[in-house]
Amino acid sequence: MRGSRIWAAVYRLSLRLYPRSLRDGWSDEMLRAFEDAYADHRRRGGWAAPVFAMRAVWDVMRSSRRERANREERRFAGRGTADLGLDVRIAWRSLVRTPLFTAAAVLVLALGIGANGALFSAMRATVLSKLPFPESGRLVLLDLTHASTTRPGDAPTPTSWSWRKFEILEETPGRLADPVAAYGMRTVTLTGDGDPVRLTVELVSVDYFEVLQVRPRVGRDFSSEDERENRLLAILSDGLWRERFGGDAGVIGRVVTLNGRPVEVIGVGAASFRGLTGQADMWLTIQTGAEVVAPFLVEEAYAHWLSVLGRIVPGATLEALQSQMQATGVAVEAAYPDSDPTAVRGGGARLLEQARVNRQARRAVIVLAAAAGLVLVIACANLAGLLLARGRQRERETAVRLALGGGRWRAARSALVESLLLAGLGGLAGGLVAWVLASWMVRVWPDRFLNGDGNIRFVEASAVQPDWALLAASAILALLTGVLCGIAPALAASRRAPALTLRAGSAALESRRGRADARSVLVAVELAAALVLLAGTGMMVASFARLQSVDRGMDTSNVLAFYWSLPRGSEWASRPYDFQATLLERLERVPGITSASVGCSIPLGGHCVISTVRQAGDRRYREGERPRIGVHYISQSYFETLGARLVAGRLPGDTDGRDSPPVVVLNRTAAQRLFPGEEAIGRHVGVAADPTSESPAQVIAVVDDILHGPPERGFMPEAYFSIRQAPFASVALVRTGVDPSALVPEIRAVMASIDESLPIFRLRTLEEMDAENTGDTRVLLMLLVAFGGLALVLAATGLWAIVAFAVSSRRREMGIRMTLGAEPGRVVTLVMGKAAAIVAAGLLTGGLGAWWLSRLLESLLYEVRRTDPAPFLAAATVLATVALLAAWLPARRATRVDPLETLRTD
Amino acid sequence: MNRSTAPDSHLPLTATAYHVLLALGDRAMHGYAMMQAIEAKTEGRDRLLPGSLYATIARMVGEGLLEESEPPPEADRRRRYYRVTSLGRSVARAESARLARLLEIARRESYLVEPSRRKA
Repeated sequence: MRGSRIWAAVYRLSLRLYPRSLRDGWSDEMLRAFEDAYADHRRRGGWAAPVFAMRAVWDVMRSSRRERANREERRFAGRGTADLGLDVRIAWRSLVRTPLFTAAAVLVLALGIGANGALFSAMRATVLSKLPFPESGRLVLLDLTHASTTRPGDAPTPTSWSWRKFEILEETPGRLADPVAAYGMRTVTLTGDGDPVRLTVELVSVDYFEVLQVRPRVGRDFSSEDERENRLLAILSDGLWRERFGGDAGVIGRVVTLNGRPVEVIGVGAASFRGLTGQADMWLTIQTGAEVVAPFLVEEAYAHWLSVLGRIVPGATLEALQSQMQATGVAVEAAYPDSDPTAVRGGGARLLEQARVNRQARRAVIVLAAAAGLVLVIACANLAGLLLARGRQRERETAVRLALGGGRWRAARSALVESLLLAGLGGLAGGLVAWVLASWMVRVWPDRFLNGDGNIRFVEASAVQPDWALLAASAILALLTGVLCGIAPALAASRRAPALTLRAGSAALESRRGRADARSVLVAVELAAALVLLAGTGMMVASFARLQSVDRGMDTSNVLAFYWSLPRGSEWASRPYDFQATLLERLERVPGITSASVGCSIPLGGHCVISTVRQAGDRRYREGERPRIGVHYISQSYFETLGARLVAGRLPGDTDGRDSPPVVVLNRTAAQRLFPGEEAIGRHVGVAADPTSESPAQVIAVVDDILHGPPERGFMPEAYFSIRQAPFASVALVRTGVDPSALVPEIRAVMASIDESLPIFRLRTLEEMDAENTGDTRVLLMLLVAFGGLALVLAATGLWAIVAFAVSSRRREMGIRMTLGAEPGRVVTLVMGKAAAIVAAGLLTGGLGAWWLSRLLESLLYEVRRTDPAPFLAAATVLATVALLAAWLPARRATRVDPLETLRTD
Repeated sequence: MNRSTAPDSHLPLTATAYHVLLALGDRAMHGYAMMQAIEAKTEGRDRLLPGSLYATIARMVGEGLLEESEPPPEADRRRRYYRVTSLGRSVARAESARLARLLEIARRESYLVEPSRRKA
């Protein structure tokens, strides 16, 4: 009886080989049948009973394998081999069963797809989408162009029009662009109806709305009679109409006060239309503008402030229009010859769709899109690697299915379905990421990026916004990603040799080369793409650092600047110096303000006037050879407020009044250019735009260079005149001992105490101004750093995974090696050697790719050449360090392998 | 699992499944009885073992070829009894017909030596 109990126990144990589902209902009966049969065989005597028992156990072992295989097969292929729904269910179940893997994969995809989705919406707003005007493909910008014989080979650059020059175009017979319209931007002050407010207005010729085919929503458009009869007329923007006039249709026919002049409102523009400048609060006819702003706008033939827009006539080609415009340009030059004999004047035409963003912005968007594309490539390679690794874990399962007649296509298909399902989830999450990223981009997008060439600014930040197109793009990207990521694992699945897999223990297989190499290639691709991104990021970092390190020539912290404007015909307008002196005196009394001064432009924000030098010392320059010089009108404390450095001489003081001889302060660059190797102080300089006197001004001081524009423009010669002699200031600058924004209410109060109708505008700190100047580089940098960081993490994770996998699957081999006396260090070297080979391959490919792609970046860089090896080396070093660290962490585990333990297991 | 009610879709049967159908006929039996019946019917040439037998029974129940039945009155109440369903019967007939056709071919090709000729 003892024998029977032992055999029953052995048999019961062997039954555990059956799948649980079979065991649950049947093992009791099996055992009972075994016991009955065993008892029978015992009665027969001899070896019958043990022989039977052994056969029965062997039978369980054999049939259990078949049952397991059957159940797997049924789970996958169950009913009808073509059931796609089943594949999806199976894929879904397997994703749910491995939540960590799924989360990692979805995250990786979401970031990749999200970045691309967001960039897609930016591309759409800046490059791809149609303009919001009927038949916008026919809208053209008509240019006068300028080239110089001193710089042969340079392409002619578009220049602005004066009203007189535009009249020549209007009168050209048989124009291929018809109708045409001129427009330019100015600011005016609206008074009455509440607080005085500074408005941005587009001064337009009467066909402006006709060319764009935008109809006013209320009232009427300008007409040619309006121009002939010189009426003062305005069309309000929809926004202004709602805010200021409560959306009241009764505003038509009302007279409003602009710069103190009465102007009649005749219409309200289409909803959300802000003109081609994207900023118009109101439109005035050019004649109205001349009356309200300044007469020179129409009278002066050389006052170039207009852009010209037209609609190409049906049947005409752009090339034909361009040659016609060239002829027009020549005619304009004949009528109003240029004073510069080196100038070559002509004309041209550009499609509005292509001119809407400047080249820098277009380039930046393309660079970012390329970066996002690289991130997606990396994410995709990463996912493919994960799926391959997972495929390997399922090797036996797949092999069983193939062995049982499951088609190779089916095995491949289920791998593909799984990848698509992951990509679908990634796409959903990616849509969300894209949405968030696009909204964030809108907030950080610098203004300068949004400007088109000339007077154009369509690309409102609000146009870059998440919408259904973005989600659709994410979905398409997800689908593509799913297919691309799934191909490698699907092929691998279909190629698996079932007999080999089933026969061999799992460990023996791991060293098979083919697929391990596929993963290595994927990781090398990731590393290469990451290097391209990091090298680009490195160049941007270098560029940004150089921009930041440009000496501004002043202390930009704690300085607040704002513009004011004295309406024409107002009391103060006739006594500008008195106004400036009053303002300065009252500002200086505000507690917290340590220094106040006035000028005519915000430093870093541009010059007041750019003019030319007629005479320096004894040297008189011929026309066409006169050096360019920036001209400024400043109060005595200007340099003190800015924290600029006086090099030599004395600053203009009380003695340099209206009646005393004119004096000027030069910057270092001007002093060196005009008086090379000589003492500038005491010499005389004649500037063309100096309205103070015909006689040259005496240089009384030299100051260190101050940056008047964006840092990449560098320094140019500057001349500073005193407002005592030329009262043309329009900007106040205050240095504060406290946070400058805290003083804004006090400053407004000071202005109101002088005259309540005077508006303050463009109030900002110099630091903000500086940030704005470097904003495009900064934003590009931020996005590239984000993408580069992401790429680094993804690529490092990919390498980590492959090394960790290699280590864990080669534990046995390492155990053997170590048993045979290999040093732990050697084992690590072995693993790291492979990782290093992958890294090297990735870096080499990436280096070439980065060098090739850096052409895209070159025009966005400041003082960084793409041949400069530093960014490449830095990127390669960072990447190699992170990658090898990622490889070392799991490789180190190899040394902890206990040889005995590994040999015992498996 | 094949739950089709078309007999042909269950063909060919595994040897074990065919034995089970043959052993049961129109009786109800428990697993061990089936083992004994098959051994007896084949004069000890074919023997089934409990593991593969029950695995097969389980599958045949799942496919609707067998069903559990009330044990006969004199039977051991601890055991489960099975009998052939009408589908199972059709499948057994179809499988027999299929094998008969194959045997006919085998005979024509002289693979099958008749017992009578062997005697002669």
